[in-house]
Amino acid sequence: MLRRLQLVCVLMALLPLLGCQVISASITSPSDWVSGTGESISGSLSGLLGSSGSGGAGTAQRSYQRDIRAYAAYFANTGGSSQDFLRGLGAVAAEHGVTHWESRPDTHRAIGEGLRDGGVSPAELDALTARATEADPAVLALVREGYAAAR
Amino acid sequence: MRAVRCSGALRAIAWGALLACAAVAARAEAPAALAWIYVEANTGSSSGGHVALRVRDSVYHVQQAPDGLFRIEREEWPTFRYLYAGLGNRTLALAHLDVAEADVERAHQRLARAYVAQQSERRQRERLALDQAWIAAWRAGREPPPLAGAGLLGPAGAPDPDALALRSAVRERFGPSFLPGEIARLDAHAHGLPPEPARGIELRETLLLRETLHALDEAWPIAEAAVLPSQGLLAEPLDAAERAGAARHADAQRDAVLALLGSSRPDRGHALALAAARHQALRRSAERGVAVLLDPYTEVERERAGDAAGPATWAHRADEIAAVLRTGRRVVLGAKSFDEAQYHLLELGAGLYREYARGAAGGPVRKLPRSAIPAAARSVAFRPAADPATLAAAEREARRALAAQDRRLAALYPYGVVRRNCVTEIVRLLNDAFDGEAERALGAELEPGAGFDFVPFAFFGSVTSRLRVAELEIVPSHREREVARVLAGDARLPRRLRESVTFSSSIYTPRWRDGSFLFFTDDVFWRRPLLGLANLGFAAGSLVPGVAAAPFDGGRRARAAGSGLWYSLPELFFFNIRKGTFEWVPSERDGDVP
Repeated sequence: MLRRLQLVCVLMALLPLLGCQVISASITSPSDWVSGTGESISGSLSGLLGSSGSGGAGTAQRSYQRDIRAYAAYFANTGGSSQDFLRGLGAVAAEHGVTHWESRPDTHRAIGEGLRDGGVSPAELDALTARATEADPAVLALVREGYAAAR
Repeated sequence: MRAVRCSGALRAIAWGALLACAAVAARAEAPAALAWIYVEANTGSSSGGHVALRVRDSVYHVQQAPDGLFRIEREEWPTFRYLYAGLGNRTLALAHLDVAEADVERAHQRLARAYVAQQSERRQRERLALDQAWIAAWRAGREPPPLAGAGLLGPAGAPDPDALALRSAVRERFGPSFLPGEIARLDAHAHGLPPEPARGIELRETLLLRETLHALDEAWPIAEAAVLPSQGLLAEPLDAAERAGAARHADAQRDAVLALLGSSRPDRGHALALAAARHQALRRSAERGVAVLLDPYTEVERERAGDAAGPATWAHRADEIAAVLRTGRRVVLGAKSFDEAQYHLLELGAGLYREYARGAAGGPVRKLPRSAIPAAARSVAFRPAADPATLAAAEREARRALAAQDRRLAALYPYGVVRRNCVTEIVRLLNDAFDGEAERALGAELEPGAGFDFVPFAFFGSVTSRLRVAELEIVPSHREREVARVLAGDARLPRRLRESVTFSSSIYTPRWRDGSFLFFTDDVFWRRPLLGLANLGFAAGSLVPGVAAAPFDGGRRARAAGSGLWYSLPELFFFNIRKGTFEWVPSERDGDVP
């Protein structure tokens, strides 16, 4: 009871301050912001050596695959044209420093996983791949592989 | 990383029942899977503290954006720790949950989807704003906004020898008439597009692809403005293995250009321009023996940082990133095959190094983002054959579409200090990940914003009391760690007194943004009201000279005094918010956290 009363008093006193972190203020002040960017990039570069840090190549790759998968699932739910899908995919890949995403097999597998997450049925996947007459069969196989492997 | 455990720790007093109630289970050194993070309060915008969710090595949290919406942010754990426990000098408490591996993955997927979805929605807004800007420019008779990526290669000067070799490879693969034919086709397509906002992105993509094919056909060199200057670190010689690697990777970029020319994705223009520009940059690196890298930050606007750090801080940072870049350069260039994401890290690191070096020389430093693909822009003249009435109607339509997207964003991501904040939104996402099974997965389903749980501190209490917490971990603030280190060598009273006062501390340097205060009160409890009173008096005393100096310093001292007064008040009632912050602290990537 005493603790609750104490909390109410504190809340009343601090209500104007209770907002969560505001972007472009405090911790995200310009110098902190760019320092955080440097820390992140340094961590990723250090991670390439496999010595420490969170930014190792494996971590970066998993993060890329997860975001591609998440995007495919999101798109499967929201819909749009195939051109919209490819544009969005390009933007998500670019966030990870990848522009030539077609050359990476993990992109196509992650798309397959995401389609399954997004509720695309096997019959719908068959229909989608049947319509993609100009697509590389190896790419379609990777999408199917990802779809089948998704849990 | 070593962490202070709650049992027996002095911190337990400050954290009260929160820490005392939690179980401390032995945990292997495996990386954390799922943990709620409570970030202690400090001066600034989140004086009520902050909450985040760590999923493996990613941290998701919600921030309030200046447009009144909430934004889902994602950082790597070391970066988050560096920003908050290091620079922000806030102690972090992590409640590691006892969660099955499959459930961790479910949570991670859900959070990633929310993050990606919000990014997509925001990009859609940017796209609609650009649609409107182009139409408005046509109506006003101005040049449309510069086209991102079109400035990577420039038509100035003589054809580049490496670009000529690339053109030969293109002609060999696709035939001599391929490039001119495609340029003509794209030109006709661009002029045939109706000036409708919905076709705006298609037009911009078509123009960028046309310009890139022009660049390939006429063997344009990389634009000077698109390349980082060969100074400092970038003037250092590459070793033989790096030069050989650069030549090998240049060949890989040539192959990427050939592959992208056969691609049908609508946005291939930028990827193609980038691969062609990188091909030249890598060829030059191999030939000249120094790293030639594209600048990923050409389009980031220059704004003078309001709280700009001093040259010494930027010099520290430049040295730090230079050391990492030298090693990373050897790894990336020495790799057998080209990895675009890894090579891009070199571009980002070199771009940051240049910025830090500029700061070290006393120049302004920009807010550079973590994610930035080289995209030097160039104006591309284009005007559709449309009458003024058509353009006016198109602009009205563009404004409507933009307003609709703004309404959509406002409906999807409204920030509210009580109901839609950093706590409630992450809780919602986590509950959603388990679709009614949160109790099974986590031990309980927390209701977003129930009772006082919208307050980070109170919410963390609910986490520790209701969820299946396997371990509580405290990551001390930077000052706390440093004080412990200093006192381990000399714990006598004079040293303690020195470290408890802001102006005599060997660890802390007073900053205007922290406000005027004399004593640290975050590491004391019973003396806090007394020290708070002293801080109040000190801030009040600073107010008069602060007001007097306002015409000369823009009110900086007066604001610091006001902040000092405000944040001294809770101390009178045993509460601490203000802890001081740091301009620079050493990186903690190497596990040197005591």
